[in-house]
Amino acid sequence: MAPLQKAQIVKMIKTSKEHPITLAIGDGANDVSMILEAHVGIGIMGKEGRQAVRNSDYAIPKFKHLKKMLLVHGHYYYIRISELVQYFFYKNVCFIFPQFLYQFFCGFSQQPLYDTAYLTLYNISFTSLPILVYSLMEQHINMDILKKDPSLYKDIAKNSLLRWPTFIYWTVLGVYDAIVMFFGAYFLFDNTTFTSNGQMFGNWTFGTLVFTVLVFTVTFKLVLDTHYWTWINHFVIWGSLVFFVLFSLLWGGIIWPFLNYQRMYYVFMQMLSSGPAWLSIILLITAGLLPDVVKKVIWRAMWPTITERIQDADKLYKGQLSEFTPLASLQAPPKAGGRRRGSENQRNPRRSAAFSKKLMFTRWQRRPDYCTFTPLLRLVDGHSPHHNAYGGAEPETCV
Amino acid sequence: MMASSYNAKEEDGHHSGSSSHGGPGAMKSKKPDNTAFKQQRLPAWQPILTAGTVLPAFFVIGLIFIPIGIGLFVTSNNIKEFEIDYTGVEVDTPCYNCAKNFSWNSTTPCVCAVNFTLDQPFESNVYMYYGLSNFYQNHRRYVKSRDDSQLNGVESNLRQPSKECEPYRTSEGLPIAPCGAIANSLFNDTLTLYYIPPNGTKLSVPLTKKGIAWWTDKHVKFRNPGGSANLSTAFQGTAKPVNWRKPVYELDEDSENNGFINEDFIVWMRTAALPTFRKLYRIIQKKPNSTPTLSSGKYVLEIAYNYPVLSFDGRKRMILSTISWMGGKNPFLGIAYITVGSICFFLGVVLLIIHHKYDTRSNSAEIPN
Repeated sequence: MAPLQKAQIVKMIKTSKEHPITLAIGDGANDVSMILEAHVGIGIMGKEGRQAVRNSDYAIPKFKHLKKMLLVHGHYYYIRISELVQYFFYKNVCFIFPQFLYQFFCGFSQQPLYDTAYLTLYNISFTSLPILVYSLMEQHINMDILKKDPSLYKDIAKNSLLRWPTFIYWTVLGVYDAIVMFFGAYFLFDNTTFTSNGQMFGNWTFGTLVFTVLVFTVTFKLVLDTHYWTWINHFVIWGSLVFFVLFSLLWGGIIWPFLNYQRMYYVFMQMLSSGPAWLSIILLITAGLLPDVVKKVIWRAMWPTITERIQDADKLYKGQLSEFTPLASLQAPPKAGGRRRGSENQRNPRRSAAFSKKLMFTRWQRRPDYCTFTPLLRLVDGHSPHHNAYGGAEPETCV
Repeated sequence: MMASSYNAKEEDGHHSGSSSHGGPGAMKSKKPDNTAFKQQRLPAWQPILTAGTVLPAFFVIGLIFIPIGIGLFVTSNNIKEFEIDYTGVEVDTPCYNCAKNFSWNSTTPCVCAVNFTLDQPFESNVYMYYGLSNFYQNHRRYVKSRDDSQLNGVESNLRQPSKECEPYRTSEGLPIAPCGAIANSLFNDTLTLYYIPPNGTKLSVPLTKKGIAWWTDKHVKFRNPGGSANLSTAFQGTAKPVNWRKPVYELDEDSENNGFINEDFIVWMRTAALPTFRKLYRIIQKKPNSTPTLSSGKYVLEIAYNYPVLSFDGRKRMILSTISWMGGKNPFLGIAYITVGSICFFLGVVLLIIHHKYDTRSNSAEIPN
C-alpha cells in the first residue's frame, strides 16, 4: 500500500463516530505517514532502516514487544498518571479550602491560616515525593497477569479514570476533608482552653493544628491508595511525615535571626504539649479518611471491577502460583514466591514465549488452581456478547 | 510527534539494519539493565483494602474511640465554668453608665460592680479569663502590625520600629515602644473579685498574675531592652502607644513583670484565632487544705471600665473556669469521639454483613466442581 493510503485509513478511523484513540505500528519508510497520522505511532527497528523509528513516539526492537508495551507499560502509565492528576488536585483543594473558610472568620481580610513557611513548603517538601514515587512505582496488578489477561484493559478504557464523575468524586472528597479539618479545629478551639495550665492558644497555633491534620490526612490518603509498597515508597511516605515534624520543630525551636517575625516561635511544641490537640489530630484524620475507605471497601465487595477481582484472586492464589512455576526451581534459588514469578518474565524478553508455553502446559495439568480466575471473568462478563468464545477456549484465556 | 529518546540512542550506534543486541565486543548493548529497580520488580508488599482486612480496624477504632469519647465528655461535664457579660449594653446593667459615658481622656477610671452568685464550689485552681466578642484580632492588617525584634529587646528596633507598625510607629516624632496596632489596643480593664460571706464584709479573693503567659514567651521571645537596668532610662526617647494611659515601663511595680515582659501584655500580644475569644487574666490558686478555692455563694466583681467596645458592637465578659487535663469545658471533643466511634462500629457491623454475604457468594462461585 502506498503511504498516503495508509495514512488515509488511519484518518478515517480517527474521524469515525466514536473518535477512538488510534495507534499505528510500522517498520518501513512507507509506514511513516501512517505513524505520524495516528495518535500514537510506534516504529519497529527492522531491516528496512530507521525511518519509521525516527518518526515515531515509541520505538521497539521487535513486534512482540508491543504486547508488553500496551498491556503492561501502557496500563501502568495510565493508572499512575490518572492518580497523580487526581491526587494533586485533591491535596491542593484540601490545602486551600480551609484558608478560604477561615476568611469568613477573620473579617475577609485575607489573613492566611498557615505560616508562610508552611504555605511555601507544602507542595514542595511535605507532599510532593510520595506521589512522585507512586507515579513511578505503582503496580496495581502483577505484570504477568496483565499480559495474560487483556480484558483488564476494559477497566480503564475510554479514559475512565479521568472523566468527570471521578474528578468530581475526588473534589468532593477534598472539600469534605477540608471542612472536617477546619470546622473540627474551629469547634475545638471555639472559646475554650486547650492546655492543662489554662493558657490560651493563638491563631498561629490554630493554623498549625489544621496544617498538621492536613499533611497527615493527604499522606494517609495516598497510603490507602498505594498497592505496591517498595522500600522507596516506605522511605518517602514516612520520610515526608518525619520531615514535616522535624521541620516544624526546627522552625519553631529557634529565634531565627534572618526572620523579621517570630510568630512561629515554639508554636508547634506548645501545640504538641496539649493532650486535646493530639486527640483532635487523631480524630480529624480518622474522620477525614473514613468515607473514602468505606466507599472503596463497599464498592469492592458489592460491585468489584475486573481489576479488583484479579487482585483478590492473585492474593488468594499467590502461594500456589509460585510452586508450580517450572522455571522458578530450575533457574534460580527459590525466594519469595510472587517476586520470582514476575522476575522470570523480565529476565529476558526473548524467553518469555517459551516460559508462557511452559506455564500453560503446567496449568493444564493443574487446572483447578490457577485458571480459576477465568470463572471470575465469566461472572463479570456474564452479559458481554464475545464472552462465550472467550470463555470457551480455556487454555488460550490462561495465556 | 517527536522521536523518543530511545530512538536517539539507536541513532548513535547504528550502522546496520540488523538488531544490535547480543552483539559482543565492539558495540555497547542498548538493552536496559536487568536490575530489579529498572525492570520494576522490586520486592513489594501488596496490601488490598478489602472488607476482611478493614473490618478489624473499624471495630478496633470503634472500641477505642467510644470509651475515650465518654471519658472526655464526662471530664468536660465535671469542669465548672461561669461566665458573666459586663459590657453594659442594657440600661439595667451595672456598667451601663461606664459604657455610655466613656471618654478617652478621663483621668479617673470609671468603676462598676457586678454581683453574681456561684451555685457550686470551685475546686483546685480556678482560672479567670476576660472574653471579647466581635473583636477581630485575626484581621490581617492587625496581625502583622507588630515588631517582634523590638519586643525581643533589640536596641536598633527600639529606636526605629518596623514599617509594619504603621500608623502606630511614631508619635510626636518619637518612636513608639511597643509599636503596632496589637500593642496599642491592649486590654486595660482591671477586674477584682470579692467574696461576700453570709455574715460579714466582703473578702478580697487573691489573684495571681504570674504564670498566665507561655513560659517561652516570657523568658525568650519578649525581652526588655538594655538588660534589667532602670527601665525608664532604657525606654528614654520613646513614646507610649497612643491609646495607653501609662507608658510601658510603668505597667507593674514588680520589675519582673514590667516593660515588655509584663504578662498581661504578652498574653494580649498572642493574637487570638477567632473573633470571639478569651484570654487568661488571673489565676486563683487552690487552697492548701481541702477547702474549695471558690466556695459557693455571693461574689462581686469590681471592674475599672477602661476598655471601650461598644463602638464596634463588641462585648466583654469575665469567665471563671476550672481546668482538667483536657483543658477547659469543651463537650465537642467528647461528643465527636463518641460519634466517630459509633459510626465506625456501625460501619464495621455493616461491613461484616456485606463481607459475609458477598464474600461467601463469590467464594462458592470460584471453586469449580
